[in-house]
Amino acid sequence: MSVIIGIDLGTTKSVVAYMEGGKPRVIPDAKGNPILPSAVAFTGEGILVGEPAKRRALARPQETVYSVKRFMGKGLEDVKSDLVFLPFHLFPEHLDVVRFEVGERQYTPPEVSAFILKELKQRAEAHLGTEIKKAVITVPAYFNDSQRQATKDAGRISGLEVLRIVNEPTAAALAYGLNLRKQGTIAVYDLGGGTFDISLLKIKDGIFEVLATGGDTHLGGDDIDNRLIDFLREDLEREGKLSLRTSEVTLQALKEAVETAKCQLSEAERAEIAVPLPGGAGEFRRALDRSTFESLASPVVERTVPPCRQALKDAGLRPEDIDEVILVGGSTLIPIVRKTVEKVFGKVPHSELNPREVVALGAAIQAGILAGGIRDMLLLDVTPLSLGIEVMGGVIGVLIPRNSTIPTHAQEVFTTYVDGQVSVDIHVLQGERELVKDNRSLARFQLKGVAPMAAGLPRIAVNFLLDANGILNVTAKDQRSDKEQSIEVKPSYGLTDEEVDRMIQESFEHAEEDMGARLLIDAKTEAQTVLQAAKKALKEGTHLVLEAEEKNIQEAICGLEEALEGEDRHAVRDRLDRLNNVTLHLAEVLMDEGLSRSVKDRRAEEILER
Amino acid sequence: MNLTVLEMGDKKKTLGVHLCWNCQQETGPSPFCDRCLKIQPPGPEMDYFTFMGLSLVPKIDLKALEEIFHNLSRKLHPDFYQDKSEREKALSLENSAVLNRAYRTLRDPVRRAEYLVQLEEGPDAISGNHPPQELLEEILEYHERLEELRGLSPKDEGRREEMAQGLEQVKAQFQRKEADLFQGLEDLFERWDQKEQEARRALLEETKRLLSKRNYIRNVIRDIEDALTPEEASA
Repeated sequence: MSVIIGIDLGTTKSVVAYMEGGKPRVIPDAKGNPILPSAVAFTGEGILVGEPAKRRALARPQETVYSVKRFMGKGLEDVKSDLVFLPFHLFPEHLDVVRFEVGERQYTPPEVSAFILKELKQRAEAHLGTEIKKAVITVPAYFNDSQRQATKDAGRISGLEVLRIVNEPTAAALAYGLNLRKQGTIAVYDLGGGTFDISLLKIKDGIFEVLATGGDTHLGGDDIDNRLIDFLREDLEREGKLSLRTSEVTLQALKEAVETAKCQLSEAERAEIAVPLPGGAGEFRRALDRSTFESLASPVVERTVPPCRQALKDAGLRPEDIDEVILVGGSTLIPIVRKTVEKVFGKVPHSELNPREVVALGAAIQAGILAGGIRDMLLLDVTPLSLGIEVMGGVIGVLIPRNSTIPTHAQEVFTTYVDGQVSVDIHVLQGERELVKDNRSLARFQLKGVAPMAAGLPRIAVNFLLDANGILNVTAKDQRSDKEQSIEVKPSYGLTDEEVDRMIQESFEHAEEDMGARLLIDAKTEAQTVLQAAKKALKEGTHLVLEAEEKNIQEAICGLEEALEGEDRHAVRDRLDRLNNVTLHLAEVLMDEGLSRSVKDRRAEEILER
Repeated sequence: MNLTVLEMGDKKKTLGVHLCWNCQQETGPSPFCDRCLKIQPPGPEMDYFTFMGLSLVPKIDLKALEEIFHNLSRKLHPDFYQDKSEREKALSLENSAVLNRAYRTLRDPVRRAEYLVQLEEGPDAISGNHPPQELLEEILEYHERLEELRGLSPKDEGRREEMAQGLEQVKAQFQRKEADLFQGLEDLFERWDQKEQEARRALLEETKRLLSKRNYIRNVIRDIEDALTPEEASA
């Protein structure tokens, strides 16, 4: 079977891993960096992903989309509060799916995520030297059906078949189970950039059974950053005589600065914040000590406590029943987070495996299980939210309670209310509240082609099946005729299959222009290396070349440096080739000299030895 | 609430016997064909006890049940059918769904008892709407307190606090009664293997009475919890 990769598609950072010799391994980029910032920049030249996109955001924030995970499976109304901090422009005419407006084009969150997935796919292909077509992708345990479906769509658009959607905390538990042979009852506390999950699991003889899960898909390190931004906003606006609402570049710089300060404060007692002010107005500088930071972060961290208590209650466990608490997600590096976890569970939490990489490692293990390479491990996860249908009076009738092990199903028999009625509407919801309006609408199903009969006579059995991804599948059967009943599905949020197909098509069509930006970066990186080598060679070999040749090389160096200032990849390539050509002779003579010198040196050594 | 309606009666005799979709031979209630070993659809008439290979009695050893659940999971879970045909994939999904639902139902004594009663008497056999006679006094008291708490103005912090404490006590009282009920159910389970029709009927009626009472108590506890924790503004 071909290689299946495991991907942690995070709010702020993403990681890809695979199984090698029975062990999960993270795949780094060409420079050895395992972490890909989850940022995508849409430039006139094409699309940038990761670090270059993040750098681009500092100069051109309107062109860069980050934290796209917060928008997955959401409608316009859901995300209004986020936009206060984000410089994105949303296309206002679609209410059911968020659309980012970048330049001439619009992108849905699955399309933006697909660029990140594509980058990770290419990284894996370059590393493994083989084409990758299948993946396991992780999502927060508390993601609802629409958010999971959107993640699966992102995979399809990127050219990956998503074999399984795995919950992040359970993926982490898999990694701990395999690497450290953990057994017993464990709690996984996962606080990432944008989401929070708590999962309680029982591990026994290779079976990882999730007992309960809880969380908040809108709670993470980003929220701490936002508190810091809010704290500094007034001072900065006064000193810089500007408004952060309109100064997107300064907002972006402030965002970078507080994030860096937050990370530093996990180790240090103090951190400096420095934000360049526009128009040469100098710099905005503030010192932040840890206690101020903690008083700002504390309300965010405290919000993780009720989901922990609820999960314990749902699992019928007391804190003392938990054998171990494992920390996952970059935000758990913050000391006050660790203190809070210790307070809730009454034991010191730990994180032997890198909290930033452990989820991807777990995804790779699940990929290994699906590929058939791992036979003795099995993950039994649960659905985080109750699934129900709208019943008379605008209330929800629960069919599948939360924390049910998936896959699971429920069957309900429907009939008609009016004589001769030929269709029946079913409204499917997800959530824990009594009233329909307080829950998440998943989809409206219409049972069509019901044989006209007296009211109450038709019997249509509808099967609601939650698969191992936590995604809903609905089938219906006419119990009288035993025939499959046709169903028309209108997802409340998210893309239809046709839309996803169209996006796949588009991604092929735009592939060339999207590649442009990547080729530019590759060319620039190569140019930097060649430039350095040429300068060094010229310094060492001046005595070996004629003046005219030296002048030629100097000119070629200047030419390439000039091209590097611009964004024209063809110019960079041309001048790079030119520099390569004019230095050929120099390289040769240097090598000759080096060879003869090394031979001489060896002789000297030999003589000395004797 | 359990919405799966299972029709018992005559079908018990031929339980699970059907033709294998693959080899077309007659095969039994196991999830795998007796002959060609291919995975089979879970029979619509099959109850959770039979599915788990247990006899239809409510007393279950939870450790043994967990072991059965794990063993069947290792055989049925979709993870292990990735390289199989689409039909087998779908069947593994269906079987896993039934298995997980069965385990959830059987491992909890109350759900297990409810399920058994429903198998015998249909889905509407247990109500939770009638206040049990023996609890009338406590129920009246709780209603009074709840009404008063709801009528209090938000400014009256002190009185509110006092009322909340009182309600916590009432809640604890009901929780003790619920715990007694669990014990009562376990005792009933011990006597379940009565063969005589008359004795069986009496047992079933007693189980139904306990379950209805339990439902009522659970609703009371939930009402109190709702009253004590004000709803958040949004979900």
